[in-house]
Amino acid sequence: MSTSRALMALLAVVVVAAGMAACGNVTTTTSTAGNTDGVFPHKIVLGGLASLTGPLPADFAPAFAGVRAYLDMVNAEGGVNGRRLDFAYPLDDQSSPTVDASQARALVDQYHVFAVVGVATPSFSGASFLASHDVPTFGYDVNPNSQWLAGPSLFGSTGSYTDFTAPQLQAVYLAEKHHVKSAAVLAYDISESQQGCEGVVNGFHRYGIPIAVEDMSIPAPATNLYSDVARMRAAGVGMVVSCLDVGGNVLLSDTMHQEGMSGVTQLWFDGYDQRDLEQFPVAMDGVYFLLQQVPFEVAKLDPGVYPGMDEFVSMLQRYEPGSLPSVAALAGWTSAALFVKGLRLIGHDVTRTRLVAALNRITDFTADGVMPPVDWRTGHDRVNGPTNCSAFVQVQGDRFVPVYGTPPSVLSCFPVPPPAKGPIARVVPLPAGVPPLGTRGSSQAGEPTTTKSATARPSDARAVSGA
Amino acid sequence: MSQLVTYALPGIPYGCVFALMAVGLVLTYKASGVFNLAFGAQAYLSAMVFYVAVHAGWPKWAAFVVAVVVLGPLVGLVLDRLLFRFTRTAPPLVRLVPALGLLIAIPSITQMIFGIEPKLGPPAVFLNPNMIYFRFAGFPVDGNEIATTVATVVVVGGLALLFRSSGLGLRMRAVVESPRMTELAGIDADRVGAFAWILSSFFAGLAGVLLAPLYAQLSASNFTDLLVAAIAAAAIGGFSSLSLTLAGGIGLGLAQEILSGYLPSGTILSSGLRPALPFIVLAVLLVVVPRFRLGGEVSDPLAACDPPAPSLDPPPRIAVVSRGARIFAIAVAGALVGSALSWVSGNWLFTITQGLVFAVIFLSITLLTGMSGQISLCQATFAGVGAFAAGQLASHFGMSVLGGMVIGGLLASAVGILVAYPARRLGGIALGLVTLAFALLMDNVIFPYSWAGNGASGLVVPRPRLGPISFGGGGAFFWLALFVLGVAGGAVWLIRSGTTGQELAAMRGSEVAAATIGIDVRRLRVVAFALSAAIAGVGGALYGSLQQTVSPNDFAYELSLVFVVVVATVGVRTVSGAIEAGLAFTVLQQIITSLPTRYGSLLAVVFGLAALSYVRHPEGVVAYGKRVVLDMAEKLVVALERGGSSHGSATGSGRDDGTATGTMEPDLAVGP
Repeated sequence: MSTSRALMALLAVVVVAAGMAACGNVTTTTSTAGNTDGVFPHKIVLGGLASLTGPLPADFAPAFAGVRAYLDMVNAEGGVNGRRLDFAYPLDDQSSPTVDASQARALVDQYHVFAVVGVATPSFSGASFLASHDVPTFGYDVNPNSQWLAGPSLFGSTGSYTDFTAPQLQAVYLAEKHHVKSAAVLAYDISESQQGCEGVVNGFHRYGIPIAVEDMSIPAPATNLYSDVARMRAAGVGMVVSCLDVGGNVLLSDTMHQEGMSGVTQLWFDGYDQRDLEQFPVAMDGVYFLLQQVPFEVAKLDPGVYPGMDEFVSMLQRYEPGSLPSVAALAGWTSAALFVKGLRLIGHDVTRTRLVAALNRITDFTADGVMPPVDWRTGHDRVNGPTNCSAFVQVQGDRFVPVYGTPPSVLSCFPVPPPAKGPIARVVPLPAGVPPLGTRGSSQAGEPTTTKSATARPSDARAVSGA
Repeated sequence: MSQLVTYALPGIPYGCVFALMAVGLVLTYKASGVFNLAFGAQAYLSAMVFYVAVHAGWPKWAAFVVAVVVLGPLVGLVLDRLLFRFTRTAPPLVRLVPALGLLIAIPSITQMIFGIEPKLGPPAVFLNPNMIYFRFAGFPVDGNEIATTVATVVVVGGLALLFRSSGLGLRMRAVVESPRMTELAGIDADRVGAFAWILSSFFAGLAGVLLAPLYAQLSASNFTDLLVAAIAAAAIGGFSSLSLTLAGGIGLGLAQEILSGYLPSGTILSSGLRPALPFIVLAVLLVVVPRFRLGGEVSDPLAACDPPAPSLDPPPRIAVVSRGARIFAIAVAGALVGSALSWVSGNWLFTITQGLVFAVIFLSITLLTGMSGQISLCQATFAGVGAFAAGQLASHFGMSVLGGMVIGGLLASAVGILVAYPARRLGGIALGLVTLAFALLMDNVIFPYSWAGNGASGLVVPRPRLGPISFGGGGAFFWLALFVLGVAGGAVWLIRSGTTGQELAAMRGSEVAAATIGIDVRRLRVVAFALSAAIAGVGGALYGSLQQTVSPNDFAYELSLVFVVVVATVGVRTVSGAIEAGLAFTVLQQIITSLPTRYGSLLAVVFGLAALSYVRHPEGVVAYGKRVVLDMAEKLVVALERGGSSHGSATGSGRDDGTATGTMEPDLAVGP
């Protein structure tokens, strides 16, 4: 390039940069165009958006089975206000952010769906578009990048805000139960995995539980964890919290058994799946899992106590016979349940605006008692509190068994934000709206109760480990 | 000391995993001159067949025979016969692109055949992976570790024996040095080359079946993730010494385990240095060791005996055909823009806009690879730098994304210089591997930081506004993308027609020849990277603003490989090729989403297999297709003219410039 041309180019860059300095960015606005798209006299057309293909389809695709099972059940009862719910466009985003954004637009611009029910993807790039068009959107909120907070029309399955870094009291509580003197925390060198354990580390620090081994840079996928386990053994670690995927967890447990550390308490965030248990029964024996739902096993162990879970398990079997209960399937089910609840609230005059407004007045949504209540008046805010409820399950033999619930519920609830000092994690009374026993329905009188803090869901670590 | 041993021992079997993969890479490179990046994909294919056969009730030995003894060599034979036989004396890019295509296509084809359901608990072929057979200085050794270590040592020993002590090994080495000279000595180079591919593919199958039980689930990424560490081990062996490669693999395994034991937990050292180690080792070796510099490439001393390759540039056309082609291209572009802004639905407008944005990023490959012949496997990383810069500036300083785009481009350019300057003496595959190591380093170490890509949380990149004009809507952003593409395309065109472009073209033709006429090739390589990275950075910022949220997943290193394959397949030498590649990439992706989920990875298959055509059509299949059509049109016009002339009428059509010899077709060709 000649000197004069280079100078011209430089000048052009400077001029353009100066011009741009006077510019700004567009602030997000919401459009209510298409307020009644997809609404017909006898049916409502719905879409879905999930990662059916890509690196980890098994962690996301089952969400559609949950949606279909719930909608089929409702349709079998005559639909809602005489309208059948037509889940016509369950789209695949191929686990790609690029495709996710364009598929979200396809649902709205091309297929003219009324709502998007059953979003389950590691990269929810279409969130801002759906929010800006006020499209009621429901799904599996595994995305740590706060995409579910893009607008009031987005409803994550357990609330739209998750703070992964907030001190996690559940792990502290488990440590207290087992009189743990020092702990280990393991994660992959992948940010999603590290974020999953950040809250655990903060919780242990806050309540003075020493972390003897903290390895958050394990190369994924793990092939050998001997040196970590050797350090854990040398330090006399009493508990290990793992944000690895199920493969890494199994390797960890096998290595610990080999090194005579069978008595160490293990808390995993990936592996709550009957297929995994059938495949790795020895490695998983005695392991604890933390759930943001009522465990599936209550349907067998305590039939009738949690009618919502009974219904989920039986309807999934009836309408989606190839599907096993899974966290993703339940997220699809609860998403559809929230949508239908809103639809019933607004009656015959179905518009997106009315639906979103009605949903955001719900104070204690539990999907008929399968999960801790969500107050949708605050469910879109970056706030925590006043409580955070989870269920613990432990592998005992060939099955998962709920443990440590606060009778009569299987859930344990903790104050949010946690107390700055004082005794280790305190279990607090269940908030209003927590699954009532022996009755169907979840509406109980009471003050607004929950949003949630960092309780990494079982599939979080798996969702990112292979990405 | 005992603590050191405790930390170090697990590194031996771990390092053998790297070494087994690395030996396969070295074998292919030594024997065929091809750096087979698809080695891991081949391993995955055999592992999958073994898994499926065992789960179907076959005895393990029968499954092993089919998956490793039959399928592995068969794949090697097919690859040699149909593909790599023709690349022995080809330039590095021609040898690399088909391997990248296979890397992308094989796992996708495998998933399409065997389904996308998770394949849990891959079986072991030889020993029980869950049984501790003995302890070595306290370290428990299980069946997997024994099988991997023994197989690695046996393979290395066997190959060393083959290369050093057998006539066949000698012939294989000779074929790599010079197929022509070998043939002059009466050796069938094709046959020897085929044997090398059969052998290396057998080892790929063996590695696949042996390594699969290390993981709870059979996944292609398990094998491809090992590739970089394997490449680093191969680099320690100089891509030729098998014993040093073995030592390199084990050394890396040891170093990673020892680091994990001694580095203070919860610090940047443990979270950054340990995962980055293979990339750092690879980059440092390639940059520092003289043998990897120019001249270290495998090349045939008798290559000059070949007639020069036919020009890839569009031939001069007669005026009427040239004008017709130009009018047709303008009509297609006009129809596309008109359609996008009128009748197509909003989501297709978005898809087309995505295509334009990718075209901007792809222009960076046109400039770097098409114009200067340099291989970069980190263009998506440069795009990420631009996107994250724009996002950070918008969120922290409220800066307009338009300004962020400019700054993002400049920052990406600076990063490009940072990569290119230490690697300025490198060329061909070595340069490509340095850029790959850099991409992985950024993915694993830099992008997760909150001040960079903010890890999994990512960043919001808003839509820009220019005075009263908002680019929040789909139509307005389409115009913005079109404008940026026009500016970037124009810049590439201007660079090409200027002095820098001529120098880049000279460098692409022959770096030695370019140096002899006074061109500072090293400086030029840095300039090419700086310009290319700037364009990618601007494209990345534009992409971020289009998507509105970006995270490091949007710019993962695999995408860089896909980008090279897509652009090389469609047309790497022209501005129009980059635009066609961008549109093809997004439009085909969108079309494929309407197919059954089993075919969700069809795009990778299409481009991966199309990349195999790069051996015969380095100008790109679309460019080649256009050329064929224009040839036919020209013949038709000539035939019509002759028919007309015989009836006494002359049309007077001549070459485009009115001369008898004609000029180059005035497409936006960037090659001389």
